[in-house]
Amino acid sequence: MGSYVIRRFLQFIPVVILASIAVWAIVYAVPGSPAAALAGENATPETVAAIEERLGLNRPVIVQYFTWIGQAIHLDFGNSAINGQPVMEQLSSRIPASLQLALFAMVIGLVLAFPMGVVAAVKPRSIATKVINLYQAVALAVPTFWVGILLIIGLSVKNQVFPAISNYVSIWSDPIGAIRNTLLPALCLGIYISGIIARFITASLRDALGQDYVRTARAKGVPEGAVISRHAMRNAMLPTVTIVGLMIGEFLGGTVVTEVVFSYPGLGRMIYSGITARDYPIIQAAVLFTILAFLVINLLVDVLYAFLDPRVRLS
Amino acid sequence: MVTPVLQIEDLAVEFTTPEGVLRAVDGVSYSVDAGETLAVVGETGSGKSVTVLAALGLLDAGRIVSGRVMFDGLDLLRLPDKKLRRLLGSNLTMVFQNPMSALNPVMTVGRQVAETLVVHDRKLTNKGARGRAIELLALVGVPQPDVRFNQYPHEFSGGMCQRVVIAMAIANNPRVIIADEPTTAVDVTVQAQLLDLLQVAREETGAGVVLITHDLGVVAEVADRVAVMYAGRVVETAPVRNIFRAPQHPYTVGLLSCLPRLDSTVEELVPIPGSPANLLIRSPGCAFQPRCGLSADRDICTSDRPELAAAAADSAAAGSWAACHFADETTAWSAREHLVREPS
Ligand SMILES: Nc1ncnc2c1ncn2[C@@H]1O[C@H](COP(=O)(O)OP(=O)(O)OP(=O)(O)O)[C@@H](O)[C@H]1O
Ligand SMILES: [Mg+2]
Repeated sequence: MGSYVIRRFLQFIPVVILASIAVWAIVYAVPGSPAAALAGENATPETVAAIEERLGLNRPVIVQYFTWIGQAIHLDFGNSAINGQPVMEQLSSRIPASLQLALFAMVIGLVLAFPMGVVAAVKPRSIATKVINLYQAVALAVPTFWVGILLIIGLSVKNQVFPAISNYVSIWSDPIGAIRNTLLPALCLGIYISGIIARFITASLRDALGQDYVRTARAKGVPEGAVISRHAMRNAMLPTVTIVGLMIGEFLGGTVVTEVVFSYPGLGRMIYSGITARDYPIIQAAVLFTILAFLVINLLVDVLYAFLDPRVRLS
Repeated sequence: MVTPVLQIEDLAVEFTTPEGVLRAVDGVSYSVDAGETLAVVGETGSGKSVTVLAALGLLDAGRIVSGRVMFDGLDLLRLPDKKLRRLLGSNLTMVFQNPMSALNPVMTVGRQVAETLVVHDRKLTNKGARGRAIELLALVGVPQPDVRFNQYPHEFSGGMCQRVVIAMAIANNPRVIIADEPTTAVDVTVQAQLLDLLQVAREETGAGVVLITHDLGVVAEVADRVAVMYAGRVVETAPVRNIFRAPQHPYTVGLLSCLPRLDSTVEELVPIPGSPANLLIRSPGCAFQPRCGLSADRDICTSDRPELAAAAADSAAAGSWAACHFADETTAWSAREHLVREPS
C-alpha cells in the first residue's frame, strides 16, 4: 500500500511538470503582450517596458520558466500584477474557503442523493421513484446560478435568514456563522450534484441487485435490508466513489459561477477576477493548485477504491 | 409411505417480454422425499431454473400465475416474505450454477459462510460463527480453511468457490438442497468431486436433493428419481432405472439417444429433430408434437394436452409417469427406431 502510494506520487511528477509548463504559458496565450494588457490601452511604450522589466518579461523564456517554477516550489508565486500583494497570501486564504464550500456541498449532495438513489433502485416502479426522477431532471437542467439567485431572493432578500453575500467563516472558529454563510452556495451546488450522484447510485445499485451474489445472499436467508446494504450497496459504491471523488476534485478548484453569484471568497472567484483583470500570477497559482488538488484527490479515490474492492491489487 | 419433504404442485410462471407473454413454467408438479436425490433434466430453456427460483421466491422478474409449493405443511408461495426468508438458507438451501459469480466479490469467503450461520442464529457470537465456518470449509474440502477464511472469492478457483457455496448450503442442516447445475461451470476434473460432496451432504443431513442437470451420466450415477421437463412442463417422472431401461415419453427417448453409450454399437448421436418449443405460442395440444416421431400427426396430439399418467403396473415401466397420449407405444416405437439407426 505504502509503496503503491509512493509510486503514484512519482507518476505525478511528469504530469505536474507538463501542467506547470502549460500553466506558466497562460501568460503567452493572452493575445498581445501581457505587459501591454496590464498597462492599459493608452500606455506609452515606456510604461509597458517598465512593467516588463518589473515582471521579468524581458528575459529569455526558459529563464522565466525556471525562475517561476523555482519560486513555485517554495510556494512563492510572486505578487499580484494588480495590487502587488503576494499571491500565496491570497491563495492560502482562498483554499480553505473553497475546501469548506466543497465539503459542505458534497455532504448536502450525498445526503440528498443517497436515499433517492436507493429508493429509485429498490422500488423502480413506485410513485416515489417518479418524483425522484423528476427532481433529478430539474436538478440537472436548472443552471446553478439560477438556483442561487432564487435562494438569495427567497432566503436572504425577502426573509433575511441568510446573508446575501457569503463570507468565509471557518467552521472551526464559528460553526453557526460558517453554516449561515456557506449553506446557500453549498445548497446550490449540492442540489446540482445530488441529481448526478443519485443517478449513479441508482444505476450501480440496480446493477448490483441483479447480480448472482445478491441471489445467493437471499437464498441464504439474509433479510432484504441487509441484502441491499451489506451485499449490493458495497458493490454499488465502487462506481459512485469515482464520481464523488472527481466532483470533489472539481470543486476544490473553485466553483466559479456559484462563488461569483454569492460573492463567496473562494478560489473560483479568485480565478474569475484574476482573468478579468489579467492578473496572471494569480491565475497561474490558482490553476496549478487546482491541478495538484485534482491529482491528489484522484490518488485518494484510487486508494479508497482498492480498499473497497479487494480485486484491485495495489502491489 | 414417505411423505415428500418438498412438493411443487401445478406451478405456472409467466414473463412479459416485448414479444408477448411467455409461459416459462406451465403447470409443473414434482416432489422430493427426504434423503432422496431427484434429478431434473431437460434441454436449455425448459424451465428447470425458473421452477425452483419461483418455488423459493427468488425470481426477480416474472409472475407466478398458479401453484402451491408445500414444505412442512406451509405453502411457500403464500408465506410472507420475512417468514420465507427465515426458511431459506436454513431448511431450504440452494447451490447455483456459476460459483464464481455466486459469491460476493468484496466480502471474504469466511464472512460469507459465517453470515449464513449468523442470520439464522442470533445467539451465535462472531467468534463462534468463525469457528463453525472454518469447520464447514474443512468439511467441504477447502485446504487450510483458517487461512482461506480471510481470502476473497477471486483468490479461489471455480471448484473451490463451489465448495464454499456447498458449505453455505449445508451450514444449517437443511431439509432440502436444490442444486441448479452445480457442476456445469467447473472443470471436468472436479465435477465428480463436487457431486460426491453433494452426496455426502445428503447422507449427513438426510436432506432431499433436487439436482438440476444436463448430464444424463450424472443422473445415472446419483439420482434416485428423475423428472424430465420440456417446454415448461414435466413430461415424465420415473425411478432412475426406468428412465434408462424403459423411457415412456418420446422426448425422454430423444434425450437418451443424444447420450453416447459405451455399451452400444450406435456410433452417431441422434439429436432430437426440430428446435425447442416456442414458449410464446401455446398450442392446445402437446408441446413436443412438432418434433415427435411417435405422434405421426395423430389429431389428439395437436388438440389435447396429455397429462401425466402412470404406466401399467405390470409393465417394465411400472412406477413411471409420462405425459403422452401414446406412452404405451413408446417402448415398441423406440425399439423400431433403434433398428433403423443401427449402422448398416
Ligand atoms: N427474466 C426473464 N425474462 C424473460 N424470460 C425469462 C426470464 N428468465 C427466464 N426466462 C425464460 O424462461 C424460460 C425458462 O428458463 P430457465 O432458466 O428456467 O431454463 P432452464 O431449463 O433452467 O435452462 P438452462 O438449462 O439453460 O439453465 C426460458 O425460455 C427463458 O428464456
Ligand atoms: Mg437453468
